[in-house]
Amino acid sequence: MDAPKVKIYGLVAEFTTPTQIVDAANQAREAGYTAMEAYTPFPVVDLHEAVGFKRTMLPTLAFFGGLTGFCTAFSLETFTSGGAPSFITPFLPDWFYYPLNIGGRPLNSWPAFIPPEFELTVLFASITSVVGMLLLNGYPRIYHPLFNVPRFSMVTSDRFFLCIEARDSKFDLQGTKQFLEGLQPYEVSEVPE
Amino acid sequence: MATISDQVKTSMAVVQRVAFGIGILGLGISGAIFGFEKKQFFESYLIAYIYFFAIGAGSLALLMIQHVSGGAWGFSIRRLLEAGSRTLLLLAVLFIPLLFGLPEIYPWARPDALKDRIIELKSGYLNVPFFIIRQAIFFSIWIGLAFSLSYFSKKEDETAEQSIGWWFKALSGPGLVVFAVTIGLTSVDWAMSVDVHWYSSMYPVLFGFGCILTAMIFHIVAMILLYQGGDLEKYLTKNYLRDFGSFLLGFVIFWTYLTFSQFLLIWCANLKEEVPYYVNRISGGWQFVTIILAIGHFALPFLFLLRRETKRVRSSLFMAACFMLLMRFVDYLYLLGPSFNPKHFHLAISQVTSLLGIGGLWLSFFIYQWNLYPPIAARDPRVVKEPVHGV
Repeated sequence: MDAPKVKIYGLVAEFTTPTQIVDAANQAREAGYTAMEAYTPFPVVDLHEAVGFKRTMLPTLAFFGGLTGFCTAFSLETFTSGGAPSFITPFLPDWFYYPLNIGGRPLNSWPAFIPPEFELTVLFASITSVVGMLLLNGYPRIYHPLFNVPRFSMVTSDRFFLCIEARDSKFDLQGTKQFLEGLQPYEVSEVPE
Repeated sequence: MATISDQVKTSMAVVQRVAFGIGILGLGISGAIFGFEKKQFFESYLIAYIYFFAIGAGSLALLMIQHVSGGAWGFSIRRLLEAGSRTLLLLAVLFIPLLFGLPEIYPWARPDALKDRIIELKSGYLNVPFFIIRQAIFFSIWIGLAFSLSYFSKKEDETAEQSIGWWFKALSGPGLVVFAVTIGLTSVDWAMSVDVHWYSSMYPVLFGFGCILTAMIFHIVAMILLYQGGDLEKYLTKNYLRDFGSFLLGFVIFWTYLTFSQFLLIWCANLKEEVPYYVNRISGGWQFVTIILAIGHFALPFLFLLRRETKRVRSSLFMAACFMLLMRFVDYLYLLGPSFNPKHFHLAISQVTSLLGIGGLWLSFFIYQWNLYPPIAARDPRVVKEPVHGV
């Protein structure tokens, strides 16, 4: 009986105790798997190291988001107030050029510009963080493929799941399945995408 | 029972003796300079004094903060903070020479001061007898707080009574309020009244927070040096250090916020009685110190400490803290230097000698105080808890 061909997200092994899953994750890491993730009902000590958890690129994204916000505010304020160098000002459109005399202060009053620059840095960094977090979590797909496995709902009560993802270079459906079964799990299932 | 490693113990004994020697020598040379450059001596002495006072007073504030807030970070450096707060005793003694130089430093203490209408109006608060009384009261409060907290700490070690924890909180909560008020008044007395016509409501916060910042930096350096080797090493793990790195980053940002706010408000208001303070600081060579502070006290440490790894790795955090310790001195030089020498940048020989003099004595006294107690408060309720972080 041939099932229709579906794209595989990975293979998930179900365990019944925290010790088992830490051991399994350690063995999988030592076997050379890198793209794996563990799912447990509560935080398990040492599991973090066992799955070889890597930081995401989110902090870097947020940094450059903040930098963009700073540059946006800086150029907006400097150009509109006429604080830009004189070789630039002739090229600015009328609606972007308001050289106002405020209390006799210079046009390029950079100390007063800093609070908005700070605000926009924070705003852009936070927006980048939220949007980046959603995208890195797989948006626009709004659920995790593991929920395609019915038994996975037990992860919130008393079962521990180790998933080796198909994007792993060492992944091969038959071989990985055999490897996972060698770890004495309760059950190994395929995760359809 | 945690103990200091033998290697640290021997080098500490050497450092203590050498620091004492340097201290005596430095103060001796400063004393010689006093012979022909009285004004310069007192000015340099005050700046150097405030730098080390900041570590002592900041230690007391941090000690009280960690008693009321809890947290593994406070537990790991508690004995360092206690030793630091007890150095206020030495600092009170080192303050005495300044009392002989009040007219050299403060315009309001000069004989002809009352001819100035503004000083005359301020003379109800700014006069020599009241100044001396205030300092005596403040030092008694600080020393009293520091030594009672150490006393209960000793008692906790000996008796293991749970009720002692109550005393720490009962002293620290009100103690912090009293500290905030006294350090604020101190900032006016010691530093702000040098520019006697000038005033800023941000100044006391900046000064008080400067103490906490300087003390935190010093204790990061001290902790990394003193906990090396032996079983104290477990307080130098990444999770502990990360807390200190985060503190350093947050404190640097807060310092920048305070410093810049003070400048921005005065710059925006542009009032005749407020601007001279900053005119002195952006001209005559002092503008380069301003730029050094903006880069070295904010931009560099901010970008360096922003990364997660630099906060967790011992060598990089140590480097950052040492650099910040230097920058703190530049900040104290900037606090008073331009007020003493408004027209041109000036760094006197006596500045170096008084820094070495006070610093040497202070450091050897600090090591002496630290050796009096076991390095870790083994009966602190926090000792049983493992520092587990949610990351």
